[in-house]
Amino acid sequence: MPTPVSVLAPQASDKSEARPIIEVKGDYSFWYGENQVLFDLNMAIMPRQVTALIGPSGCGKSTLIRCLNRMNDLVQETHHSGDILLHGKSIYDPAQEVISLRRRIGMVFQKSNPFPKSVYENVAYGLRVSGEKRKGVLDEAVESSLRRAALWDEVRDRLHTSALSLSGGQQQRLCIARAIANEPEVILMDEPCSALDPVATGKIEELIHYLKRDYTIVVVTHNMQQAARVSDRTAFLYLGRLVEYRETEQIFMNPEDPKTEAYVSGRFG
Amino acid sequence: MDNRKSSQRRRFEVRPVTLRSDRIAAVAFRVGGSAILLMVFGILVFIVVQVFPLFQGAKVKPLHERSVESAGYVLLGVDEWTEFPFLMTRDGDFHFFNLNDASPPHVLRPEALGKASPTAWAYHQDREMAGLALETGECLIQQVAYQPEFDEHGQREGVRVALESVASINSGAEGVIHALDFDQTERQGLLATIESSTGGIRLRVTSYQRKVGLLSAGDWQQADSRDLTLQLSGRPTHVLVGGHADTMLVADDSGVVDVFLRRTGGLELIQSFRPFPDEKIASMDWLAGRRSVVFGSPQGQLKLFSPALEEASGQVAYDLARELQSLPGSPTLFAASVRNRVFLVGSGDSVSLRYGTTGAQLWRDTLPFEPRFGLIGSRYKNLLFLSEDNRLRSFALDDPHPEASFTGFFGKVRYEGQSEDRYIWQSTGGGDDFEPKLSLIPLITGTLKGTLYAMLFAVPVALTAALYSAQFLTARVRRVVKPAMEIMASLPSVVLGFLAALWLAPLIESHIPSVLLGLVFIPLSAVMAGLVWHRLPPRLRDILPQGCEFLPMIPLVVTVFALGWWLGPFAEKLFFTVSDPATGQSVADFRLWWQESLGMQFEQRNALVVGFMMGFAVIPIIFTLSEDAMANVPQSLVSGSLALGAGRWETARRIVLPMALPGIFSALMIGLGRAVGETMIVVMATGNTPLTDFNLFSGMRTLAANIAVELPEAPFQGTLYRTLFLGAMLLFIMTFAVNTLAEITRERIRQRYQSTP
Repeated sequence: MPTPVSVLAPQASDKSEARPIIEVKGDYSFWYGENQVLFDLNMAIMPRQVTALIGPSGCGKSTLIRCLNRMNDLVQETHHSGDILLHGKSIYDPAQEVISLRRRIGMVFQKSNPFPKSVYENVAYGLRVSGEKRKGVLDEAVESSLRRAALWDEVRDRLHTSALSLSGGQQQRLCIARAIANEPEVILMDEPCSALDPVATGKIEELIHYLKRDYTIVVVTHNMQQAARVSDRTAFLYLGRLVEYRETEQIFMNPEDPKTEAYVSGRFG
Repeated sequence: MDNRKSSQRRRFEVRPVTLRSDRIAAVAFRVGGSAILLMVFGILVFIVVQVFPLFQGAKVKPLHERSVESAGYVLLGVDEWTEFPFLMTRDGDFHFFNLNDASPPHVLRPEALGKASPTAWAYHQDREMAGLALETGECLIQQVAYQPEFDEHGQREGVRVALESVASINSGAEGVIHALDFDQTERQGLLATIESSTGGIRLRVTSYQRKVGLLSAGDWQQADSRDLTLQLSGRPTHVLVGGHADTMLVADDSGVVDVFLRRTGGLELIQSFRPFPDEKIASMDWLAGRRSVVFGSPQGQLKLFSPALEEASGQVAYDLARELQSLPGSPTLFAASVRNRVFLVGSGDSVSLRYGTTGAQLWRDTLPFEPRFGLIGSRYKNLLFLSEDNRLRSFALDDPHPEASFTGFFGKVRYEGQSEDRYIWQSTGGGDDFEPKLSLIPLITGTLKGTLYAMLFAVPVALTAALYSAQFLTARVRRVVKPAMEIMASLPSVVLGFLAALWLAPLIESHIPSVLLGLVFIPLSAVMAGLVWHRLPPRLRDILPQGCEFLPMIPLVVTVFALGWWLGPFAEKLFFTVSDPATGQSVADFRLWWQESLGMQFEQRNALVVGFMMGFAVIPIIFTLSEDAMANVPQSLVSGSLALGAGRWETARRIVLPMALPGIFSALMIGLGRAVGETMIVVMATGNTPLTDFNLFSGMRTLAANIAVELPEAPFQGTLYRTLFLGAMLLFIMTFAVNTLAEITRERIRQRYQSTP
């Protein structure tokens, strides 16, 4: 078994700020029933950076990202040890409402899942469920979110047609716009491009690059080139353990762990 | 090389067995599918074929014709089979003719008549009795006795006729009687005569009676005789005696009709009215049963009057029941059927058959001859006319369902004895002159009422339960709840009906305030519990795992229901105290309060009981189907919504419910269809009273229950039989309409919320 590597404090970097926005600590472990899927994780995610999670299938990348906004609560019979902090406060604190946690940490799924409603209603959804009724506010939020998701020009004329009429890439960008509309601090992306063609993938990657200015982004990806292209820092997970977590450049150019090297050079995966 | 090629070919060849089974399966499915469609269609065709004759008019075809010697006939009568009619001459001879041949008539003469000739006559087809008035003022009542003769095989060979004297009544008339009528029951009779004497035209009434022992009846004895002329406003022209020999109607030459009723002190004038405001009365005749009367004016107007109990005075009074379609001229021909409310009426050669109660014209024709007399055969299978050219003509009448008509089934009809037009279902009744009342409106109303109350109870329970189970309940409990509910759906409805009738109905009847309080308290407690739960600090809330919120709810609901049950009698005392009209004391009784304060009926087997029990039968269906629909909403959309910070309720409301709407809708419609067609529960728990109201505490009779209840009493291909099929057709149409509507709506909703392919 490989020994866990913990990277608590980020390496000196001109982009990093002093305090991490999310901290996974206390040897965070996670179980589905009897089955342990995450082992002794400790890592920190820095604000306004893109953090990529890579690793072979079944290594726990998606489980980890779903732990960050407690989406795993929906799965019955899970438990964990250790803790995850958002701005230094535990997300498992009973006083922490899951609903507000998820507003602060938005999520984009592997397969685009627009609601069978209009484009407008999809983007306005998060605001509507939080009780926003003023049309002016909604209109403005919809437009700015769509603009920031680089979708505005494509859908401005059909805001009120069904979101299902959009192409796959547009649907995924709509899901991103929908997440942005909530003004979250962190956006989690679970393999956002796995179902898209190269052109759409390129657009999403551009978008991630652009969004980084305002948001902290955690992206799970199978595609190492993508990780190399979009992320500032990369974590390599293997069999539920964090093998290496460093600046992306370092991971790809100069991996410390032989498993990392084997993975990034394509010898398994 | 060849070898390799052929083996390669074999590799890509489909095995013959696969092909064959594929083809057989395709054919079998096609046959099965079309057989089902064909069968459904066949059932529909069968029902329509059964119903169709109800709406057909009467068919009349010539049957026999023979000439009779012209001897100034004044009366026409006929036997039950319309084979041996008789004609009475002015002298009082009865000539019996055989319609099948041209043989000379068989002549009989009442013995008591002697050599004298009658001055007035009346013949009652229903009792086959003739009344003859003599110049002496004596009236002979004669029975025309037709006795069928049978051969050794039980076949009818012929008919033997005889004239038997029933009674001989001295009317005490001083002048010459020129009109008479009579009616008698087993023990009493009433004879009315109009005579012209030197003192003018007088009306005289004689009542007679006899004692009836166990084995034999005594002779008729004359009781008293009275002159009622002074009570009339004009000179009498027509007189009718009917009811049960206790009603007399007299028309006078001023167009006024006076109604006399037999009271203890004798006949009493109870009512005078003018059937035609400006005209005289040309004809006046009873319909079968001798209660309703048809008046004809010289212009050919026809009006049906029926007796009804006036609520205000408690008196019986004649009242216009229906204006009938007019004749081209003064009525010259009138004959009532003795079986039903049909009558034959004519003016000159234009004759028609009418159904009195609904006024429907069953048949009309211009005859090629001028009828002098006409009759409807006693079996309602023949018409018989004596034409002016002295020929007896019989016709075959084919009208199996005269009482069936669109108006009768769906319209308001004023039946005999009623003071207003009403929807009534009453298919069978006591006496021979009972008229079936076949309005389907009470049954349709009953069906809708039962369905409404069942759905009112079932829909909120089933849908909220389904939503909770699909979206909130922990999977472990859900795995138990769902199959349990499905088993509930397979509970035989006869068991539910039995429970409803024998356990629930009496229980509810004595605890209505408690039940009502429970109905209010339970939803209220749920809402309150939700509010309290929301206010609880998260630390306390987290003790209970998500999806197990039902655990504290169960004891709460039970407690609240028990509280309502316990508070019921206090509420009854507080709100439902009423003074008992029987004892004058003030009692707390909801049943009495409902009747006394609201004036509405209260029955033990009521819509509330049916709502509960039928709701209970419908809940599992709606629950299972709509739960499936909600659980099938893609998890990715639910996750998407939750990830955007929506709560579970917001997600259910904004994503799950709209997406599951088509499924929920069809669940509701299937539940509705079940409730509409449900039979056993309503048969057992509704009391089967065909009412036309939506009162929560009265019973009902649904179309389905009606078929179940009445089918054993419906003779094959009779009117009732076909009417039950009409009810079945309505059920068919109702479910068909509901399902079609459901399918259209479902498609529309589905298009709106098309999910990702």
